[in-house]
Amino acid sequence: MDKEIRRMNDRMKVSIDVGLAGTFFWDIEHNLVVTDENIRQCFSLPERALHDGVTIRHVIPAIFEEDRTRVLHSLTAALARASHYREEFRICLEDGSIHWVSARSTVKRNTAGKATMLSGLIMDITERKMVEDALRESQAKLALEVQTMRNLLKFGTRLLATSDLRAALQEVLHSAVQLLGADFGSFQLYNKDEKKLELNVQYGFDEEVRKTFHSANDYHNAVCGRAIRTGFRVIIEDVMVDKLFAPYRRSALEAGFHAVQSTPLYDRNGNLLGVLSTHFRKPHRPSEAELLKLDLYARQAIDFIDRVRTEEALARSEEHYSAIVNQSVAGIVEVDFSGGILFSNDQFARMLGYSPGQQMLPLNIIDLVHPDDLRDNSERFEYLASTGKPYDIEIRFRCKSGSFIWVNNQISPIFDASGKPQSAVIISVDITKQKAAERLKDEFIGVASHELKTPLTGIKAYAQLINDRLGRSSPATISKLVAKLNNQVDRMVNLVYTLLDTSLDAGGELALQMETFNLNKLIEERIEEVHSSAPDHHISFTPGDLPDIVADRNRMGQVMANLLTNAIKYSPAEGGEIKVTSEHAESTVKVSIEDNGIGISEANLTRIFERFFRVDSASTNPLMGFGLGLYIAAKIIKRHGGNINVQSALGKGSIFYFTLPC
Amino acid sequence: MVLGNSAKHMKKKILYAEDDGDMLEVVSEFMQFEDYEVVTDNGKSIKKKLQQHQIGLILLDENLNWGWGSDLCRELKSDEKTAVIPIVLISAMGDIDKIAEQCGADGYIRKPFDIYDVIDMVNMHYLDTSQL
Repeated sequence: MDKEIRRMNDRMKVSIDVGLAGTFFWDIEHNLVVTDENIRQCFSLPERALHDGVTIRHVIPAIFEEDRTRVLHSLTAALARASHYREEFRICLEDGSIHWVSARSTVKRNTAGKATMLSGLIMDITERKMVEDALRESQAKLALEVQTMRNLLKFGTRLLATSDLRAALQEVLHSAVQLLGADFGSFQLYNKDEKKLELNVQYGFDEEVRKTFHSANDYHNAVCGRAIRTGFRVIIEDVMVDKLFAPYRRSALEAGFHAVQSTPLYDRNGNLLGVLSTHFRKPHRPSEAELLKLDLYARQAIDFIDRVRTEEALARSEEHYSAIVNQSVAGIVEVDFSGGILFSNDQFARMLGYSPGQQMLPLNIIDLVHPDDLRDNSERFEYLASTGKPYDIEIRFRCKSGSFIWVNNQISPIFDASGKPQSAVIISVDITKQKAAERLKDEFIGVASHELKTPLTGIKAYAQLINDRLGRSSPATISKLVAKLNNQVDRMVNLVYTLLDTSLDAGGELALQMETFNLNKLIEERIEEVHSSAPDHHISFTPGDLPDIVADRNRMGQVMANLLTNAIKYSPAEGGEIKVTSEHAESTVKVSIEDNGIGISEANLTRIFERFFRVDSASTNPLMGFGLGLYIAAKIIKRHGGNINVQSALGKGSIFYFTLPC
Repeated sequence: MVLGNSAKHMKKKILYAEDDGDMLEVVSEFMQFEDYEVVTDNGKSIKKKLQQHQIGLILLDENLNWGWGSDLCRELKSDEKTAVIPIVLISAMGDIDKIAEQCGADGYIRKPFDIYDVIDMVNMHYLDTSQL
């Protein structure tokens, strides 16, 4: 047996003597292991291993402690049933170095199946192992990088979907803390209005510490302060060592950290956004790789904060703009060139009796225009559509109720990128009241000019007559004619005063020329005058015992004339009874004019003394009067310190009465 | 009773319907000098006055307090008893010419007027109905 083994060994030795491998032969029955010189040296075996052999016990110690159990296990298992034994393990050489080896051997069995021999090759695979390890390590590193990138991407995507600043910063901080293997972290946003850092989110710190952070104003030399000042990341490996950090040492220890890094974050324009800090319980310096990843996360956070801030600013500006547009007292509408409403503010809807909101959008503005104004409006609109020239126009719009309002519209175009008009903005103001006032004024002017023609006729007629009669009629007759001419002139003057209401004093009040006179006498005069032009009306006067009063006689005459004329105007010719009475009561005199005419409705009663107010009745000539008579009468009475009022009901006649102080 | 002569010397009567006293007065004044007697009325009792007097022409103010002269004119012209009497409308309104035409008046006068125009108009249209 021995001879055989030796022979085999020699043969193998010849071909395998390269220092990287060796052979061995183990006689399991006799427990003798024979090896070549390489193996002998590797395994630190005595000389006799080369020829006599050593027991397996001698071989085992060379095997690296950690691998021993494994090797023996697999060996035992192979000897029990296998035909081959392969294993990789480490061995400790004499010089202390550790080598990886690979054992490949065959198992020889006897007829009973029991393993009798194990022989094979042992190769040094240290280099290969190192390469394998290096590969594995770099693969792991790569996998980690890939994972980190995936996380970053997911993270970024999540940020894109949210606008919750606080939640997002929380995530950033969390990731940063995990990445750096830190124990605590904080994210402070920079408030540029107050020029200080505010703690927004934190990780790991307890309540007390948080409070301290919050209120810290002087952090100048604290890490975050330094980071802001220098614009660079500040790393404090050991708070006990860093000199500048000394004042904060105690707070740091109380908070529980010994090391910290603070990274200032800037937006694209170089404005400070905030500071991201991570803290470590033990003294620590983050690696370059870690800090690089931190920067990547920070970049995400910066972009996010930027975006959120921009969105907020935009929303605020939109709110502001929207408020202006909606609070506007003018209706603002945007339309396309076929008239479709693209946008309308609340006031426009309100103006037309719609509830603000969507009700306006489906409408076409052309449908709102009064049919009479349609053509003119369309012409101007089309002109704007083709030339881009703004214009303004007064038209009528139909309200939701179907009635119309007058509006003044200013229309200007909105141009597209190429300078072509793409839509129009209409600023619409309700001018119904102004139009009504204009109409009243026009009516007034119409009536006034008509009324003035009567005394003018009188004046002209008398003038012509006098001219004609001079030399032919007696002086007495001429005098009479001149007197009548004067009367007409006076009448005209009164009329003009009535119209213009111009006899005002310096204070803008109705000017009064006061004198002492008997009111009853004045009333009589007026009744007589009025009677001459309305002989069929019966006017009775019951004078009371009145003291002389101090008042403007002309003006009071105006009041009486007006009240009497009204009484006659609104009462029947046949059976028309007008009763005038005057009475004295304590410190006032009261005059009443009662008629049995058509009376005044309750609705009109409250408005009867209004300027320009006239009762529109089918039976009366709408041209008569200016609607000023009662208004001025009321003004005159009030100016005297008196009161004027009316009692009436439709169909039941009226009693107008006034009082004057005396 | 004198035929012809008395007829010649009987004063011509016109009816002036107007509710403004001053107007009634001044027209009466100058028409007098032309030998016209002016019967005045505020417009509410024209028919009565026509019955009471021999009226050869009606001067009718368009803008009466209680109604339109042109309506009265239409009424008178559609009544065969009064249709023949010439009616002259007086007004300060711009379109009095159209109104006069539409209501069948025989003429119109614009205010303020020339007294000679009134006299001419009356002379031109006056109808002596005493012979009828």
